[in-house]
Amino acid sequence: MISDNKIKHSGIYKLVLIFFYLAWLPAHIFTLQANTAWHEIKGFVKDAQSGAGISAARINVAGDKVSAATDVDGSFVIKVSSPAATLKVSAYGYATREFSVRGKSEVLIFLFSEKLRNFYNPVPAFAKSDNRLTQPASHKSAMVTGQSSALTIDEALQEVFSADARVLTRSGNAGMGASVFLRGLNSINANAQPLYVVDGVPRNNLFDVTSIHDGFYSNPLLNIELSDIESVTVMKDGTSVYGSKASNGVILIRTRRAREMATRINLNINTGINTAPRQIPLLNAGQYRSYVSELLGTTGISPAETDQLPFLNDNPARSTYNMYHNDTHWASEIYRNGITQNYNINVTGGDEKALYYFALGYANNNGVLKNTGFGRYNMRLNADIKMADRISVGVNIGFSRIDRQLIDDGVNAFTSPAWLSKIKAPFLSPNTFTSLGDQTTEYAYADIFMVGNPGAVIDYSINTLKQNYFNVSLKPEYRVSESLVISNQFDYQTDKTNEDYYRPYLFAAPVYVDGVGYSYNARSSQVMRYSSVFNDLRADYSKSFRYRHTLKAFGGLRYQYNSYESDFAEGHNSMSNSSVNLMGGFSNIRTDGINNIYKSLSCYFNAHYAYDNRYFAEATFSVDGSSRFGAQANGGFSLFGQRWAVFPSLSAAWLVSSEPFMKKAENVSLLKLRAGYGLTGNDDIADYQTNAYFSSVRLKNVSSGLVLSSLANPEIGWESTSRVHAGIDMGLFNDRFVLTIDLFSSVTQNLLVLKDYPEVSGLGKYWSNDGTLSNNGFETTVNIKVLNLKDFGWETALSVGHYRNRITELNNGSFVTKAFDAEIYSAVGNAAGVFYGYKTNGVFATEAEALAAGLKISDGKGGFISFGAGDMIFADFTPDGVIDEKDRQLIGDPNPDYYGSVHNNFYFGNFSLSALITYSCGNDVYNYQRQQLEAGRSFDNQTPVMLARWKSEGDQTLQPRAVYDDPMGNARFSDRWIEDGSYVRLKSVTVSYDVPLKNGFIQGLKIWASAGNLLTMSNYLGSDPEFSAGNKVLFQGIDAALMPSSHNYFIGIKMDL
Amino acid sequence: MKAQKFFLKMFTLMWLASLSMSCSDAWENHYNREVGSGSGESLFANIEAQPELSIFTDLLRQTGYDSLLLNTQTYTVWAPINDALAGSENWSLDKKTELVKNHITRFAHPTSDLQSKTIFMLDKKFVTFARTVNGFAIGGKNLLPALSNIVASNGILHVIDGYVPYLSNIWEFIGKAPGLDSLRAYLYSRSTFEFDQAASIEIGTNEFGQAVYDSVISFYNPVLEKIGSLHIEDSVYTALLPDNVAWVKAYEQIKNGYKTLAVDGGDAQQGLNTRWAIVKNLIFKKLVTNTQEVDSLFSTTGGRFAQPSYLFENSTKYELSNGLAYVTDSVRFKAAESWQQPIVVEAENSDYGRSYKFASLYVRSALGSSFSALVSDSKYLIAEPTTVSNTTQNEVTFPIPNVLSGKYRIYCVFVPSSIVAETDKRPYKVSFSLTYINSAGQPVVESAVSAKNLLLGSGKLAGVFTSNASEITKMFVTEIEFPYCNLIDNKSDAAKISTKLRVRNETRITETVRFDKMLRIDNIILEPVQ
Repeated sequence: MISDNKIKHSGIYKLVLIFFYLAWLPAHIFTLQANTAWHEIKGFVKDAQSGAGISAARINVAGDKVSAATDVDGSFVIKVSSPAATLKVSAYGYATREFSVRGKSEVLIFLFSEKLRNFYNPVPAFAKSDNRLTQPASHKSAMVTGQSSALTIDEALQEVFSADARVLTRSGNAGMGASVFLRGLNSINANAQPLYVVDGVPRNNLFDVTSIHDGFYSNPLLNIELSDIESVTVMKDGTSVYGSKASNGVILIRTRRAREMATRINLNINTGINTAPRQIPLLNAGQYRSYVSELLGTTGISPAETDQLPFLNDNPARSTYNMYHNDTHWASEIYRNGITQNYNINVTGGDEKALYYFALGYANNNGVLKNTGFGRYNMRLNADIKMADRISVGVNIGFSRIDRQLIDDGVNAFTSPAWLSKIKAPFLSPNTFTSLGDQTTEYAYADIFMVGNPGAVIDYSINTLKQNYFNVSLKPEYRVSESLVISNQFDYQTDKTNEDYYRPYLFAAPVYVDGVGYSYNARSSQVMRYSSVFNDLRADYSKSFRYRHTLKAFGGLRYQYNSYESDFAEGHNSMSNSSVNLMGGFSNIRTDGINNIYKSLSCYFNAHYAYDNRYFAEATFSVDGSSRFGAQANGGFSLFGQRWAVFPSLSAAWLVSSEPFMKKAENVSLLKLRAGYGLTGNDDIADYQTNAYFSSVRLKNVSSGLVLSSLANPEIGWESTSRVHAGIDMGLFNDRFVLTIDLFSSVTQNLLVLKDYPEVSGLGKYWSNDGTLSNNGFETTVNIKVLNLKDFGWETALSVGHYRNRITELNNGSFVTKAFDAEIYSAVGNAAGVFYGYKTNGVFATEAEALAAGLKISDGKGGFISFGAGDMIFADFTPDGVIDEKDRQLIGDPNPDYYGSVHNNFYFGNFSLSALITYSCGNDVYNYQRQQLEAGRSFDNQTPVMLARWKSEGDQTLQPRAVYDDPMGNARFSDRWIEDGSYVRLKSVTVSYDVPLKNGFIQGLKIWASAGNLLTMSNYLGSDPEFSAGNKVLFQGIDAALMPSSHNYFIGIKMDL
Repeated sequence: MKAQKFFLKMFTLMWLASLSMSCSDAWENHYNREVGSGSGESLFANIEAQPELSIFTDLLRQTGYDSLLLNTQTYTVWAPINDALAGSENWSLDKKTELVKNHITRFAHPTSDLQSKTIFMLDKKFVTFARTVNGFAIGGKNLLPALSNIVASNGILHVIDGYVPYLSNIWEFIGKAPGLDSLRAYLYSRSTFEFDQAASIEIGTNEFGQAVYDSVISFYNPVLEKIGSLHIEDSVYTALLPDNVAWVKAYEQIKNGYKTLAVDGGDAQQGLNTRWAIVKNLIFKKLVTNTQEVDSLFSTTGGRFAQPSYLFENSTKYELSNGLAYVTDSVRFKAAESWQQPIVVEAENSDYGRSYKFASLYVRSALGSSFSALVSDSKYLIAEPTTVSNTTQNEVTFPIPNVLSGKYRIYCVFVPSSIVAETDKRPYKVSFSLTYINSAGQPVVESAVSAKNLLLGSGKLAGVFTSNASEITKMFVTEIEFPYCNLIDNKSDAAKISTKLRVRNETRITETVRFDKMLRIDNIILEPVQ
């Protein structure tokens, strides 16, 4: 399989090969020399701040099964099997630390307060000790703090992982989550989001499911209450165990379980406000009237028609005067401060028979857009039942219910109130007037410019989403021996979503719909049912040989059955806002639906070998079959008439800091080198691409029939991503300074790309494996405990991520993808998602300048139209004097040069203050919103930039003239709309206070307050530089004017009983 | 308490930090960039600031148009310099207002890329704004290059070296020119002012639930509706305007063709129809600057005049804001070109309600046949017999609209059978009868036409005519003087048509070898006899 793939990596590949050789050679020598001889170690465990001994600290030795505890003065004695042993030291109130003995007989170990710990601290209970991992710092875990405004785990990822995961908030709407990319962009058209595995079960992230609500994404991760999450692990390498689903990385989420029998009750309450988002400035009523009355002159309107326009009649005696002479700030009509409340209570405890974790939660959000919001109810029961000495059963049951009040979002000139508030004429009134000139409370209808009333659209729309999620998981486990455990996890989950949508009559402008004509109001409904059956039969083996050899291995068979069904119906023109039932007065009723089933089977194996806590090696492979694979897919092998894909990986690590020769390197507390290679896949192919199939159609609302919708493609297969990685972990000065550097290089082959069928077929697009993509980059984190004073501590961490994405092969040539009036160019040598448009060089100030340039466009009839004064100067690259698509150039790259975060944590006494700064550098943004609001081609309101438009001969300006419908294409997709999206943002500031209150009832009480998005430094001209137009790779870097993030202020309380 | 103070301080800091977020140089520089090359001041402020425009500034103030140029709509002003307006202080306020309105228009009109365009001024006058050899001019007055294209917050200012005189349009000219009283009396009497529901905006409902409108009252004149909007200046015309003498003379000449039954309006209607007949071909879309160089003219109602220079003999030419007017002492139209044109009823056209018996009617195209060029509109009507009885002959009756009171020669044009079968040499054997109103005002129904082309009266045996089997036959039917005109305004009034011609195939069963039982009719023609 490996040889099947032409691995085209950078020099890092050679580096990894050399490393493997160097790492294995000393391991082999030591294996030959291994003799078990116990060494006595004496030591002291001391407070890193005061130097005082720490009593009752626990010392464990990995692999030796021995432990010790410190005396009153902090001293201890322990015997270890190897001079290279690693001591794991933990004490109450201190952060756990791993310490290499490296041949010494006496050791001095300093522990830091638990308030000072690496921001990316491993979870102690995780299967492997951090230092034993061959997968690097990229395979890290983090505790979820629960002290933020985040409602979903993907939103919280940015706070806990930063540069390890490029997290792009989908929108400022609560619970919408984030698009997440690990180690660059590993696909072009297919899903590039990581695989989420919750308690061992893969979750479908429904990445390409389309909501009937514009700009909305039904985030399945919202079903998981943050307080129920124990840990999150981002796996970027070594993911071959998840085979064909893992090329975009894997995020493991573990929900809480009881660890001890004592009953503990934990109560979390927080509430906060989200302020209205930052608004792009717009023309006021006078400025807008001037703009409109100029633009009218370019429409060809007759003088007689002009005289009839009420907004141009300034006679106060006219009864329409009041309606057209206001200065309405439309944003104020629709926005408010949103309020979020979140309550969670959980109980853990049990006895010798069973341990349980039970949680109930309720979250409520009133959106910053009036009448929007959601409520979430959730319940979770995780239990571990001991059936017999060797038999136990794990049970997970989860339920959640989400009710959302929604409204269309983004650039939608009909039903997105946020957008309507931007484009609507400010001289209009939201309410009607009586004939006597008194303003009423009744909403005004859609206006003379065919722009709806945003407040009325909010009030009269009936847009809801109801989602019910349920899962049950049973995991019987049989311990065959001390070393071998056999388990079988069965899981069933179902997710049903009901969406209802109503576009109101009169208050929203009519929409022209093919086959319907003008739709004055419309009702639609969609029901989506997703269900999954999962079974994982697995064996785990763990054994130490002669103390120095440790082998851990697991293998199993994983089966998943997914079904997705959606039913959609819509109707038009009931012509009444009181007739909103779909079967009522609506006509042109249309139904549609999807009913897909998808199955996959995976056989996997993993073995991890450690020698003497210094040398580690890990091998993994999986063999995957999927109903989405074509029988003639490229790669893998055939069996049972099915194509099977093979995904191996190999990695090794050398814990240099445990070597005896590091004995004198006192200041180097940790040094580990890592490297590996892995092959993974992406099976997110659209369903049924291997088959030819028909779809039902309705012809002119008269008859039904079937049309061919897809041709069979037996060659369709998975994308495969091979990745080599190497890294170093280093801790200096008792881990006071911790540095992690990771290098990676990946190649994705057989890219899943969307292509056009020949036009004569009338079939649209199809999926094909075509092309190769590479990602090279690095990620590094530095963690420094800056101050460790008696009552004051300061810890800071910096993370930097970088990747360089390139398309290296496209067998059928380059292609352009259009979205949001943008063109995205996929071509060899470019990064994925780069913008392809025209370059500009200002505006022709004079007629003479335009004449001298001699630029023109085709009129489509064999003639040409010349650019004139006031038009944009487009670069003519051909150069033939004609500005056409041949003159398009690369004008922007949405991929950042660097991204990451800076954490700061301070504590003083019982107070602590943490601040998270996130940044992105060098990423270009297509500001779609500005392209709409500075085009000067329609009666939509514009930004104040329109005041600087070219108006007359000689005007020196960068803003072209305003001409209705933009016949010269001055507002076409060009570098005018591409901006530097770099930013530095104070993402969150959290202050918490541990109330020194302990009694028989209250075991712990913490009060906290946080503020989000307080400060953003950016040259970006949109509302928010942090956004994602969608999950798709090619939509990154496009600001589609979805709800921007705004300031938020939260307070919370956490109580342990 | 301490905790409260602490949180208070922290939140204060947070708010201060959030306020600082709004400070962004790039943001400010972009959205608050300086406004173009203009001062940002209004048009009036720009005009007021120019010393050489002080007289125009005063005119603006006196006429109240200073406030217009201060508001937030977009205008272009061509401001005359003081020298051009010397003496204007003595003008009446109306004249001052006319001048001011004649130099301001809506929208922005810079000189860039200008060749020539017609500008619609606030006084609803069209003035030409054009490139000249040395620069630009509006209505022939030059723009001062250094003071052109001045950008104001609400438009553009050009300074000109003269003023553009106010010109009446054709409608205004008719209203005030001496000697046009008769024409004026007729045209102006037809004007009405009506509530325009389409242009009015519904602003609510009254207590009875009825719609309440912000009313727009529109000027309406049915004559202008037909001959052209002489009053709103969005087009240019050439108008031939008869003076009083010409009017009376034409009226006397034409009125005999419009004798009207009392039941249809009598003398009053006759007068109206006569006046309409005079004016309907007076307006031409083409601008006739030299009457001797025009080959042909089409009036706005469709009348065609070949070599029309005779129409303009002894006329006086006036240049007006929306065209040219020629005041003439005689309406020189030829009757057949104007008010008494031949009437052609295309047989295939059923707009006026055709009737038939014992026949099935089909419309056929002559294209591709040897008669293609000879059949009018390339279409003709087939009346196919549905029976073979000698007593049920296939026939078609054609209503003939808009006959005048006067003499006509009536023809029926047949298309031969050979149009579909060259070897078929069978002619049609036909008879005719005419329905009309007699001098007593009574209808004469189906008066048979004799073989000598005379009307025999109802119930008489009609004569039989035979067509030419190998060519188009324009068959003379009869000559008749209609005592009354029979005019209808539109096709929906077809039931009021009192003149009808019935065409019947008279071929017997035994004659079908020699005569065609079909009828193929191209049209019916009524030629006026002068």
